[in-house]
Amino acid sequence: MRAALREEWQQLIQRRRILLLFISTVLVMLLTAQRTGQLAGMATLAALPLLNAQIGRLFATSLCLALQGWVMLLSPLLAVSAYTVGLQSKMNLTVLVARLLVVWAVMILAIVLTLPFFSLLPLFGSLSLPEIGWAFAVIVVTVLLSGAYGVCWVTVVRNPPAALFLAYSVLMMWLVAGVVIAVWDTQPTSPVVVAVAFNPFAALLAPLAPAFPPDGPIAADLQNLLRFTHGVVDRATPLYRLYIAGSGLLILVLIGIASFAVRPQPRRWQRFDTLFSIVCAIYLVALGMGREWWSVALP
Amino acid sequence: MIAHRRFECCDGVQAFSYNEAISFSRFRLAIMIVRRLRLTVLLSLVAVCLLAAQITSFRVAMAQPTVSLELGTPFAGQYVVGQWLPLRVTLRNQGLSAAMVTVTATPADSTIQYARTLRLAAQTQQSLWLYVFLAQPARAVFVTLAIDGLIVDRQEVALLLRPVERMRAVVGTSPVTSDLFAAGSLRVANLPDHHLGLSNLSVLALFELDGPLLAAQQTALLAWVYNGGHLIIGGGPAAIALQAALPPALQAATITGAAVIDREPVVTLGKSSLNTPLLGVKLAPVTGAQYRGDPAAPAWVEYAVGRGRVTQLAFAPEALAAWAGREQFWTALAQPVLFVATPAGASAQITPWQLQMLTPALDALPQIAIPAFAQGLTALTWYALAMVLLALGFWRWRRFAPAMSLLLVALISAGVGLWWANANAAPAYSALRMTLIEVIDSERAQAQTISVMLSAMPRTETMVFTNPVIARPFIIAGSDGSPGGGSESLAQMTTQLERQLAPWQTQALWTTALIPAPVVRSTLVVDQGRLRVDMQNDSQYTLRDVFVVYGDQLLFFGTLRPGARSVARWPVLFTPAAAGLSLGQLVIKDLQENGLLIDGDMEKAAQIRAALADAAVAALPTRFDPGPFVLAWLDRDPTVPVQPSIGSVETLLVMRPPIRGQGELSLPVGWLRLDPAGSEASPCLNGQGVQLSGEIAEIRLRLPPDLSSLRASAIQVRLSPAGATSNVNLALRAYNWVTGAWDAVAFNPLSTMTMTDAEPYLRFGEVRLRLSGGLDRLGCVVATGGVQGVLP
Repeated sequence: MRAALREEWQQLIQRRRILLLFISTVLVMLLTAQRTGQLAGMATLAALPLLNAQIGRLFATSLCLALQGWVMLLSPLLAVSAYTVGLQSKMNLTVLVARLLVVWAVMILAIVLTLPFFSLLPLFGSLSLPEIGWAFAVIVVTVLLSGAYGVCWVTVVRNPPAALFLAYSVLMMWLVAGVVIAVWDTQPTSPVVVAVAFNPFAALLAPLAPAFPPDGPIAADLQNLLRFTHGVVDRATPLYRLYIAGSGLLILVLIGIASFAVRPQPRRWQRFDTLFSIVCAIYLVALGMGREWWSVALP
Repeated sequence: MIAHRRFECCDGVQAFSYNEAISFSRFRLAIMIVRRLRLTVLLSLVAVCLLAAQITSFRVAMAQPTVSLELGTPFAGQYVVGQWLPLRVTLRNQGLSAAMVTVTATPADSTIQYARTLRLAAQTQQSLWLYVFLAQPARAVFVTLAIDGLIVDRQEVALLLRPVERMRAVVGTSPVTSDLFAAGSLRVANLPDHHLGLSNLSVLALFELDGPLLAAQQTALLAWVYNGGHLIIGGGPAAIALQAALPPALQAATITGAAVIDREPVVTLGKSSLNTPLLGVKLAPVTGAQYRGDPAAPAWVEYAVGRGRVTQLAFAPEALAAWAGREQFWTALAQPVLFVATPAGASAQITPWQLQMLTPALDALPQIAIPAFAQGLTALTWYALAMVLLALGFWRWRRFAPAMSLLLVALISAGVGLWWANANAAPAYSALRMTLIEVIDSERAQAQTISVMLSAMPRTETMVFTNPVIARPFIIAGSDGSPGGGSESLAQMTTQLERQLAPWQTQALWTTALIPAPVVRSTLVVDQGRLRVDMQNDSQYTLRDVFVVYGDQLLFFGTLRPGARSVARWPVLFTPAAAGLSLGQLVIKDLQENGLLIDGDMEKAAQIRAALADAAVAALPTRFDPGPFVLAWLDRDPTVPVQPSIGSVETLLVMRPPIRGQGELSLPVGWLRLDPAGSEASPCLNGQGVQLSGEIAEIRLRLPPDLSSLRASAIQVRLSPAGATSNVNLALRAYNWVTGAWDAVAFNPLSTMTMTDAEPYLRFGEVRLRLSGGLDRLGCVVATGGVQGVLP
């Protein structure tokens, strides 16, 4: 396993497109920061209470959303890259797990490269550590989920361009469905809340939204954003808890599907299955025991 | 078979023969049994420990202090909306000493808890007052008693809503059989120790004391009268004892002996003949007090204290017990001095009006400077450039380019950025603190503070005060005043308050405290025929932008540092102020015109200062109270030990300087001012002048109480009608106090009219004028005047 992991890592990290991934991630964050700075500059013309805090909230929201969108976009691409450079002949459960871990590691590395952008947030004095901590947790979970999602598609389809197309198509439908449900539904019933919570952008905004400013141009922008992500769901609802809990389950399901698809026939019970079953059981027990934590989001 | 039987021990499978087993010592057997039964032993030990703990806790519970709670309301639960209900709490501890006894009172349908915490020694009894603000009608107040956080008793106090004008109380026996003193007959022990506890009352009669008044009760009475209460002090045999029990500031007259009292004022009010002689004490009014009846033996003396009044009777109330007109007399005498209608309800205290004056300034929270995030963006650009170059550098030798190097650069950059951002972080909290300090006598001042707080993040704000305060949430537009919908406990008579701030919810807290009066002496002295203003700042505070104001006349003194003295003579001529401007606006206009209001955020500073000045003067359109006042902004807020580092602080000191001296005095036009209460006309909409209508109307011009004994030789009157005066056949008559007739006066509406030999027309500082003609065309009329005469 260790050898497979090392080999997958070396294969992936030596590719120029990984360097491009890092550079583009930093540039995307820089552009976002510059654009937010322009918006903040315009907002300074208005006499708003605690304008610094409002700008800080806008800054944090923009950076988090940009990073979230970027990792969602890149993770399937990275998974496909890993597939095309990986050891096709040796494709087995060990390689699958190694590839998944490598994809996750590269994406986490990309996130770490963006930390200097987030380090400026205390300047505005309007974000608490739990708020930004939960936002980052959502981003990391999204990385894990989208990585597993990409690896699953490429493993099942085995045709990288087709897998990429399908992955992005389903992802797009997922996001659109979340927005449509949020905008059209008028009652925050449990299914609606679950659907909204599984919009990664809604989950990301959930820890930041309760302290959104109520008035002013910045507030209006943020409220418009919430209209598309949250809809009728109260912005104080901790949707991120539902998202994190559900994403863990979804990741396990995706790994299960990929592991089923990757093994040669006749398919037999292997040591991986025992470990995977134990992990699944532990996770389910943890979900059950921590029901109060994540079910708070449900009406 | 036994010898070969295998035994199993607790540490797994351990085989030994029977012969070997019997060779074990008893000790080893015991050890083995214990090891085999270790779970049972462990459980037994846990059970024993639990039992011991339970027994101990039971003993502790048995040793708890036994505290009983007894509640009382001085006014039988009657209250006025928008005022404070006093609750007398008596705690008896028949057990051990209690470290933390908390009494909490909550109005029904409210989440605000007013609490007092104390330590109660063993076998002791303690009484305290708890004040509950009733912002809306409530059927009851719930009082809970908690010892060390554990609620041990809960009681309900039923309430009864009353209009404020009916809230009269008497200490002693009621002089009437009707429910005129509906708030009840009180004992001294039932008098609250804080003026907020008296805020429900409009009139309090002090006829008989069954014990000494505590210092706190005396101060409460003084502050209550200063804020608009009407205190009636009985005369007769109890007069000396009553006067001795009151603070000097509430003494309207000195008692110089016994006399047969002039019955005329009594008969006038009672509208019934009084044949029996009225015996009582002989009252000599203090400066500024007005007698009623024969000056040698007045029936009573009226003395304005702040916005309230003290009426000191010369006779005992029992002297009128058999008189047919007593109900009428007491009803006419025991009238509220002040009546303020605010959205919260009617009040006989000025505080709600002052708070209403301050409301427009509550949204003037100071702006927080935007942090220099442009520098941060530049740094980020450099970081991005560095990452690009680093990545390009690795482009060729990527096999040797460890990802860890990128990681390292990113983490170092993030660390540096975090340090820089924290070092230059802007506060996510803004606050505005407005304090109004009113000097009520030479030693004491009452301070009212409104603290407006806005935070972008959840925050616990700890407020520390120099003197014990009583606080309540202040509801402002767009906010419910509660900390995020949850219940809130407000400790009373404490120097530290904590408030939970929810993000982006503007919250305001009103606090009041009695503080030592800043040692600032200000007096208007009669000097060489004119008034001279003496200001002496012996306090530790710097007084900024000091004004002495009377009506719309402002006298600017500038800044007075500690120890500074300043003297100015009152100008002979004043330009009438622009109509429609409040005193606060006039003050701000004066400061701006002289370039003295040049702070960073001038607009907000002007808004706050104008609101504070208006609240300080609290000019009511139906009430005569033009001053004089001294307004001075303090450089520090005396109610807090440490000045807040975030937000803005405005502290206004207000004093009522006395007018002293004797001899010839010339008061320029502007000193005789309209008394809206005495005039037969309604006040104008802008609060300045009266609206005359019909064919005949009476207006009254008045001097401040300290000049009420002025004997006039000449009077000038200037009428400034807003409407047309041409083709209006106006006639003016002045009331002659000597003859009781209305004398015709030559009058031109466009010029200042002068009356010579004016002594008969000024009495008790009052000039009565009667206008006749087509008054409807005059519109709003502002009448002012000046006087020349002698102050005896």
